Amino acid sequence: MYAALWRILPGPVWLRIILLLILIGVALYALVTWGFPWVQSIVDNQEVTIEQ
Amino acid sequence: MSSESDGTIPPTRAARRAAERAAAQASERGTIPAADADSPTAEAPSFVPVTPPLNPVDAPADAPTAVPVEAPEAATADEPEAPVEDPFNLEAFFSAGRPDEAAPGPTETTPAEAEAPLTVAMLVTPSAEPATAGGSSGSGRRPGRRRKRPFEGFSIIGFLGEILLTAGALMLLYLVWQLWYNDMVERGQQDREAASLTEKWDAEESAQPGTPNDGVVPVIAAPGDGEIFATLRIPRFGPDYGAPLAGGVSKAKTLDKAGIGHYPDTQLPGQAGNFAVAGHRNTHGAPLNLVADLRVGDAIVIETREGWFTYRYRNSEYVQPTAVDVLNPVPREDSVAATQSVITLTSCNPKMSTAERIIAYGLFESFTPRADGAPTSLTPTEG
Repeated sequence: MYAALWRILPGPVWLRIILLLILIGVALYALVTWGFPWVQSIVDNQEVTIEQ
Repeated sequence: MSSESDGTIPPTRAARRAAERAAAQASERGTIPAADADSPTAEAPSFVPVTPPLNPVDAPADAPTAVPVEAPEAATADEPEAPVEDPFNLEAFFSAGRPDEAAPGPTETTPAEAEAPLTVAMLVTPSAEPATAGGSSGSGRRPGRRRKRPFEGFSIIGFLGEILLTAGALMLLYLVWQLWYNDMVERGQQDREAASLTEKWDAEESAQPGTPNDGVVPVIAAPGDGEIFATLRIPRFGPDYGAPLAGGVSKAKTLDKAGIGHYPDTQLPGQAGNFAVAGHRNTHGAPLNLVADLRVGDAIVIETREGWFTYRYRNSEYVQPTAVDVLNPVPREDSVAATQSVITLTSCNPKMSTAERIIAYGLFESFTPRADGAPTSLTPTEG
């Protein structure tokens, strides 16, 4: 999977590393913006209220 | 990489193979004259593929004549050195199974110059650096990668392993996000929102000044579900601490979005009875994260458009999640008419758990109209 990704990336090693870092950044942004809040809405088990 | 031991034996075989292949290729293209094919180059063309690109320019026109004389000498003279790098290059190169890469020189040259690569390579390779620079670094790395190819292929196990590793990393990342990063972000958002509400209310007050303190505690209109009507300020939680306070205790509308929620069936600030609110102790900005750190007498201030309602913390208790009598007008007492005004904070206990609730009570002390400015109870707590 990651080996294939590395092979797909164009250019010399330094360019691939830069591209990889950009990809990681994009992935992190998407996770923080949409992914994690969505997970939290599912697994959130925080109960702070008193109820019957 | 290749050691000297496996370098010493293969070179001759590899060299011969190299020569045959190079010759075959060249003759296919018709670039090599017959005279050259059976010249002593048969021993040496092993060096050909190593330095393909640098030849055409340097190739002298009369190179073919020089070849038979010099090449063998050069080869034998430098024999101790040659095996170290040349066999390696050759072996690596041909095991890669890509003889085409040796060809760029010949294909780019004109037929007249086509013989030059062979001869010049022989002259140059044994003695000069270009072979070392171009050969060991360039073609030394490339074959190394190619040789691994068979083991790099797609495998179910490897793919599964990567999926599992990724899943593990994502879970760790999620925890970091939920327990640290997002709490920090949302805590900051709530603080800033509370501060901007104060500014807004101050601006409204200066545009339309109210009355100074006359001992009358105003009655606040009941907020709608999710409507932010006040902010909670607790100096013990930090000088900049502020949490928007909205009506209702639903997660979707209030607790997860605004910050603190007001139990709709309980009383409002300053009224006789119980002003009960709930807030997260973890996640979503955790406005009540430090609720267990309150000390007797700490100020718990509800700031509204009209002014500040100051309560003083009195005590805490830990109850079952169903202990609704903590929300009574007189907490824990059924059917008793309230004469005092109290505040009740509810949150989860222990942290990150739904097992119990922590309840913190405070007693109403005073009301400070906005016209009088912020009360002294808001000054940061020391120690």
